[in-house]
Amino acid sequence: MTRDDLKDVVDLHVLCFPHYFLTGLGDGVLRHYYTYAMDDPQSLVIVLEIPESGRVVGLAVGTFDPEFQAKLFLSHLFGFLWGVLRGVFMSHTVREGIVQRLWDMKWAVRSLFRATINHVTADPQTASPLITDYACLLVNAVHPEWRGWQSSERFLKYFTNCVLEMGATGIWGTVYPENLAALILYKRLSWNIEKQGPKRVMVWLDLM
Amino acid sequence: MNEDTIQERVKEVMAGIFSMDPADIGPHSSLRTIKKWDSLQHVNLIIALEQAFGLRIAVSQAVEMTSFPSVCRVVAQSLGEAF
Repeated sequence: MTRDDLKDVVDLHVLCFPHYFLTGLGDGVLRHYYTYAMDDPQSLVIVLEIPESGRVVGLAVGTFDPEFQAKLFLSHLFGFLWGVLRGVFMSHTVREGIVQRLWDMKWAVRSLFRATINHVTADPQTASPLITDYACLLVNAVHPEWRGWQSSERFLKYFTNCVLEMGATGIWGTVYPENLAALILYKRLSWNIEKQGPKRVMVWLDLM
Repeated sequence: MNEDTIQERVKEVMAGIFSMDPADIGPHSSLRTIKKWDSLQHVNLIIALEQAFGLRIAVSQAVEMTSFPSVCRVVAQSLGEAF
C-alpha cells in the first residue's frame, strides 16, 4: 500500500464495515489508522489492486505489536476523542461499540480469572493464542463485487504467507458471530474457531 | 442423486454436527428447534455438507439454510437437482 491508495482504502473500509466502531469515528480517524499501520514497522498493510486501473478491491492489515491499538490511540488522542464524542451523539454504531467494549472488559476479567484457575490443566495445543510471535489480523476485506471466484481465499492465503515470511508462528483475529462470510472463509482455510462471548469469535491458524 | 438420498445424507450430516439421532431430524427441524444450531455450528454444517456432497455453497445460499427443508433445497440446487 502507498499513500496514494489511502482514499481508496478508506472508501473500501467504509463500504465493507459500515457498522463497525472504527468506521463510526469518521474518515479522519480511518485515514490516521491506515497511515499509522502503514508506517509502523511491526505492522503490515496489503491491498489487492486491479492491475489495469489501480483500483483497490481488497485490504488486509496485520500487526505483531500487541499494543498496536493503544499506541494508535495515543498517537492520535484528540482525533479519537473527537471521533468518540461526535459518534456518541451521531452514530448508533459508536454508542453500541462503547457498550461492547465495556462488555469485553467484563469477559477479559472473567477469562483472566478462569485462566488463573485452569493454568495447570490448559492444553497448549487447543488454548487460544496470546503470544507475541503470532500476527494479529486486524482488517480483512474484499470489495463485494470481487467476492466469489475464491478471491478472498487467495488474498488471505497471500497475507498469511507474508506474515509467515516476517517470522510469525501463527496468525489470529476476531470476528463477529453473525459474520457468516468471514467464518466460512476461515473454516475453509482450516483456521481454528472458538466462540469467546456472545459477540466475539476468535479465529487463529498455527503456521509452524 | 434423488430427493430421498439427498435428504438422508443431509440428515446424517446434520446429526453428526448437532450430535443428534438422524431420526429426530425432519421437516420441523430448524434454527429454532435445534438448540445447538448457532453461528459456529452453522459454519461447521456448511463445510461438512460441502465435503459430503463435493460441492461449494455460496454465502448467499448459506444464509438461507435455516431449516432442514431449506438445507436440502440448497444442496439439491447446488447439485443441479431442483426439488
